[in-house]
Amino acid sequence: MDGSAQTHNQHSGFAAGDRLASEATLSFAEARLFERAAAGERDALAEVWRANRRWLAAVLAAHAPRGVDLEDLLQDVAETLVAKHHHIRDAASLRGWLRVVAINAARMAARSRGVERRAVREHALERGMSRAAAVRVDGDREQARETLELIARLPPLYAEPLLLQSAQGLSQRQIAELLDVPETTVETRLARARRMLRELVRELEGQAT
Amino acid sequence: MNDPQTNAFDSNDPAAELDVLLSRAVAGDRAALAEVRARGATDPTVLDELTLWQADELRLARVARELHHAADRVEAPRSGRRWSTRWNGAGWAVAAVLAIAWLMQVVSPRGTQPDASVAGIAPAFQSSEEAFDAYVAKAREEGVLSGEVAPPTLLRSRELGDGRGFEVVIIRQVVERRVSPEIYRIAPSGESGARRTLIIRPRTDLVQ
Repeated sequence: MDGSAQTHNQHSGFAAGDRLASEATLSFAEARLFERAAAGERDALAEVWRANRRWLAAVLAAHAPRGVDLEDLLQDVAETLVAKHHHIRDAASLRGWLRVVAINAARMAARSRGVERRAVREHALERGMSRAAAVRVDGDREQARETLELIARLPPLYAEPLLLQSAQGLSQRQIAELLDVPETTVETRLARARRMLRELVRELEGQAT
Repeated sequence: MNDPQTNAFDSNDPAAELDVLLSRAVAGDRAALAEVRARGATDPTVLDELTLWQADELRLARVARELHHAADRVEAPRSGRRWSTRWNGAGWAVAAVLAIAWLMQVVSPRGTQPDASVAGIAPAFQSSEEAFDAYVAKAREEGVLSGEVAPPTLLRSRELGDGRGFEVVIIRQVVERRVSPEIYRIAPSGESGARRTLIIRPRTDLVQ
């Protein structure tokens, strides 16, 4: 991990959540873990999932439409990992493969589930169930949900690196490797994403006052 | 601002250049933070902007916690997707339909059960379903229940993993009719607009 990512993790108060995602290159231990998983060791596969699920949640949040249950999508990705991990060529291609699986799950949700779930929710709201009553959460959680709603309005091109950096503590280099784009591209996308988010928050706060 | 199509950073655009600097600063790049502060000495609006971007970063930190909570609740299933061929494409829509059908049988009040059982409501019920059925029957008898009990509304469903079944989250609603001697209304009062409770009593024939 480079210096800026370390500093960022200290700044945001989050330790590097998952080992696989926090290293720029795949370590020997990670490669070994994947080999054990590929050989059929169930516990190793469960460990591979745990090591990747947090950054996958960020990818899903960036690509999924509003109103879709993130845990459902994570479950889909976990099931695909268990069912198809033997298709992965090697440990080095694991993260890229998982990202594609996650994006596909999010797109599928946009087609088949999002509309239905929104309809159910709107139906519940129409029947007199206020949003506050439906989901009682404290202020921080409510603001997190509110912010996720705003991020869902950003193009995924910008939302994904923003969540991977700000929410997961990945460095620009790690994000560049994951997205397969130059670091300079990641840097400009991050700046643009933060500017877009700032404008949306400003708009939201303007409505509230 | 940079070109959104190419993501090319326009170094001649001072606003875009400042955005990149602020982005680096809030991500923890100390050199960038020092540069922002130096610029703030001559242009205080830069520091204002930094404060706002840092507040946004806090929002993102809260998002991170939510994502972590969600992610940490999902474990890899013990085996591959058992219903891969059936569930693909249709997704959980199929599960939702099946769940609703099941709920209609299990959760909704038993229309075939005689109202006569109301008189002998036992203090202890075998299950919450029995208690709910008894409530519905008693409420009908008292005229409190308005109309039919609505079928349950499915909010979400998901597989629990490890063969433990499915979690089905529903809303179950009953519509009650009550008679109250008075009602209350919260309304602004006076020039200050302070809100206070107003008691509204029913009109009588004499008042009319």
